Amino acid sequence: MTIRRLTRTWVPTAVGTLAGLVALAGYLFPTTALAVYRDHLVEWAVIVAAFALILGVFNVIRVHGTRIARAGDGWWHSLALIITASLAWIPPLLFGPSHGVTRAALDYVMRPLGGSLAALLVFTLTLGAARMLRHRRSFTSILFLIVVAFALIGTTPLLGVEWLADIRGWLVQVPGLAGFRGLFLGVALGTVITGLRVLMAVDQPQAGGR
Amino acid sequence: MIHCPSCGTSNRKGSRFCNECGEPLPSTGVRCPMCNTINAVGNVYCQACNARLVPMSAPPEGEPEEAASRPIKGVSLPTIPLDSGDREREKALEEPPQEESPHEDAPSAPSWLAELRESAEDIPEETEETEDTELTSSEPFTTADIPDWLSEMGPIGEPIERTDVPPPEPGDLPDWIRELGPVREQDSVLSEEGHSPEGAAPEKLVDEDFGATEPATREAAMDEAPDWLRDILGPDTEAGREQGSEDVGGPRGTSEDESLIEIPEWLKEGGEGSPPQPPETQPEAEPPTEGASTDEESTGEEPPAETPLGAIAIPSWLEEAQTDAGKPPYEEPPPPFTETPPEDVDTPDWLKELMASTAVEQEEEDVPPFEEEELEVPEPGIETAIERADIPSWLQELRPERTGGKPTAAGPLETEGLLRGLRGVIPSADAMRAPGVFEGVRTHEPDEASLARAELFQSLLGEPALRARKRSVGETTRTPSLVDRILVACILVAAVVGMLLAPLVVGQGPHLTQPLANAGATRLYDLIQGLDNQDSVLVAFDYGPPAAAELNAAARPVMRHLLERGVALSIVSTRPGGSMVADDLMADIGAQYSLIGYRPGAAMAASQLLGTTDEPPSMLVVLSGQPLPLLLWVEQAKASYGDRLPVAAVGSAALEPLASPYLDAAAGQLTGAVFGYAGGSSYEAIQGATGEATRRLDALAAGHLAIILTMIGGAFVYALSGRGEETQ
Repeated sequence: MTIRRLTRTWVPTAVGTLAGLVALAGYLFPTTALAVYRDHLVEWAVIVAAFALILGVFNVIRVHGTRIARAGDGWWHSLALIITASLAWIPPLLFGPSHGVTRAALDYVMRPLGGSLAALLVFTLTLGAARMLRHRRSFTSILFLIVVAFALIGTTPLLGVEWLADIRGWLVQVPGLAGFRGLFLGVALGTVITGLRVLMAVDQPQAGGR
Repeated sequence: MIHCPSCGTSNRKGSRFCNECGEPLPSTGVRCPMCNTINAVGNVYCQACNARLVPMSAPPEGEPEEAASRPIKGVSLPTIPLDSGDREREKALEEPPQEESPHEDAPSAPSWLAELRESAEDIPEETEETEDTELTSSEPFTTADIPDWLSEMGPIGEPIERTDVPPPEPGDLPDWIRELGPVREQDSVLSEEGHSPEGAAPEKLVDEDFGATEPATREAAMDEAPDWLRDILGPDTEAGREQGSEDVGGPRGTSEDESLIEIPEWLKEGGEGSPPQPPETQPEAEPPTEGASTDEESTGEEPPAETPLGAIAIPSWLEEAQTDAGKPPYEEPPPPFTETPPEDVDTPDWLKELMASTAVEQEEEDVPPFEEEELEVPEPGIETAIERADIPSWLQELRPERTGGKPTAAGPLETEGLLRGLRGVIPSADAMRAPGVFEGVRTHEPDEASLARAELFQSLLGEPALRARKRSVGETTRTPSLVDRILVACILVAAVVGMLLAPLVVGQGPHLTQPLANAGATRLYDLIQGLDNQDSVLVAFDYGPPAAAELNAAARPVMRHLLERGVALSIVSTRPGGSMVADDLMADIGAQYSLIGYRPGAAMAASQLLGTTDEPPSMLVVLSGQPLPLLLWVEQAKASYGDRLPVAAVGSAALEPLASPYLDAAAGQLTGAVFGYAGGSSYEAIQGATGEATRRLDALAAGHLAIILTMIGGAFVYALSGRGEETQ
């Protein structure tokens, strides 16, 4: 066993496994001691996450700065990203989140852009629904269109068709929720298995991503 | 050794090219075209394979008779049926030659025959070296002076002893003997009496035998010769004798005068019978020489060479004459050969032509090497004049071609290698020399169907191009896609913007929607209504600017209600932009709040934030547009405080299907919830106010209707157009 292997593999794995087990034990057995260790570990995790965010920001700057320096494909896109990111970060850093400049940037830049993206999403979904029968003529396509129509109408309580809200409620609460929970159950099971593998040191993301 | 005519370098015998300069050397022999054996120049047949070496020649046109009588060198005559005697003689001739020297027969031969033998012996055999010596006309008689026909006869002086040859019967005499002119009668008499060696010899042989004698001696001999011999020699000989000209016979045997004076007894006896032949003078059969066969073939008559001179039985008178003389009467050397014999010499025509050809050959010996490639190919007409049966078919097939592999002076010059400096050594390949013949385009007459199809195709090409029935993928999707996009965008913008601007233009009018009572909103309203200024509420702003438009409209009545109740607000966010959105919203409603700010770490941040105090807040309000933030807050709140912390949710309309189960009373995760414009309008309706959510609900309803109409319209259009690209 070399020092290199010890420091890069065994120590991170042991620390990760121990921290995970302590945090899990703190939730499963909410004793005071375990809760204290758990809370400390969560605070360290928040700090590490904050540094990870900072590292992520610098990584984005490095990647796009390299592309600009090399004049690679889409280098102007990288330049625009760095400029807009700087404009979004600099006012809060300089004046705080409640300053007029920060709010102006939020009200006149970020919110319209966010609203435009949401509207574009609506437009794209609408266009796709209109072209549904053009590309695929099937019973499921027609059923899809009918369900979407009822859900949309039921979402907005139109006058005279309030009863559609009940149909929309049933569609959303029963078949829609069933499918959604099915997806979530799958995600939850995957999360549990991944957590157990990390706790059992089968996966060692903290030791180099293996 | 062969001396190069160009540089004089001595080369080994058999060399074809000079070792020094590469020039072709004179040939020292004739290469057999069949087995490549080097033969003597004069050989007519190959000594190894018996293939013919000398090309056949034929008389020129217009002289058929003369050509027939002329001895054509190297031409075989058709086979003549032999009688029994001839067959035996042929057998004897096929036997190997006798090893005994011809001198053994000398005692029984006359002097002229002995001299003839000596002269024949003096003639060296034609070997390859004979041509190395340059021949000049001033030199005494040499082998080169001997014409081919004569040299091919072999040793003339050798007597050919005949075996038991029965005397021919008069009726058995061949026609050519009967046609011998003046001798014919004598021959007939002699033949009746017995075998006559002289009479059996052809006329030309007689001339050859006696032509070489000195004129004076010959004259004396002729004067004393018997009548039969004079008749044999003919008047020409006498005329020539009178003119005193020399005979051109070349190496002739000398005749003895005394032998001619005496008349043998058997001749005197006339027709009494053939003279008895001494048994010791019976010559043994000798294999035929090439010259003999050539002569007998060339004459076209009964082969006289079957009884050659050597095979003639020496008469007794000749033996006696030789015995009396004791020595040859004439010991002078034969006269040198003259190329141009006097015209007055009585020379037969065939001999004149033969001499002429011999002289020409002699002149050409020094210049061109005689090789098989340069053999003269007879003309077709001449070739047809010769019996084709003489050349077997298999030999004709194997006949070498003159064009292949013949080095010519005009050939390419070798510039490198061992053959450098030589020209035409390696002949060019035929394919290189003769380019391929372009046969041209084959003319083909098309049929009517092909012509009709061609005309139809031409007419189609001449017509203007029709619009393609099926366009490419890009064309089929580009234009309708653009129309659809524009149409859908226009419909949505018109619907939403129109409903938003309608109250501003026409004032408050009828609404498309009516806020409905919502259980979640009602429960949330009741929960907030139970709080007072002693309570603290933790508000998590976990949505960003993109969802701020919808969530702010839904959250604004809730936050106003909290502000009305005078609770302490603490704002936290697990998203970077949540704090900004919260600050903007709270500033809009003018509330006082405590900003915790952004907490990285998502669930850990929520857990850490909730776990800092032992007493939970009075209420947790989660504002989120996505399911995950809501879930993590619900989970961490329940994990930290259990049921002691009521959790309320304000989310987008998309979050309602996921969060609605948490609203179940049995579950208890969510105490109340407001989702989207509908929930906000419901909350506003509960509060008895008309807020932003209610105003935007009409625009939302108009947009939903536009979307539904667009889907239905598109479905009908594409369903009726039959332009589906994929059908199940």
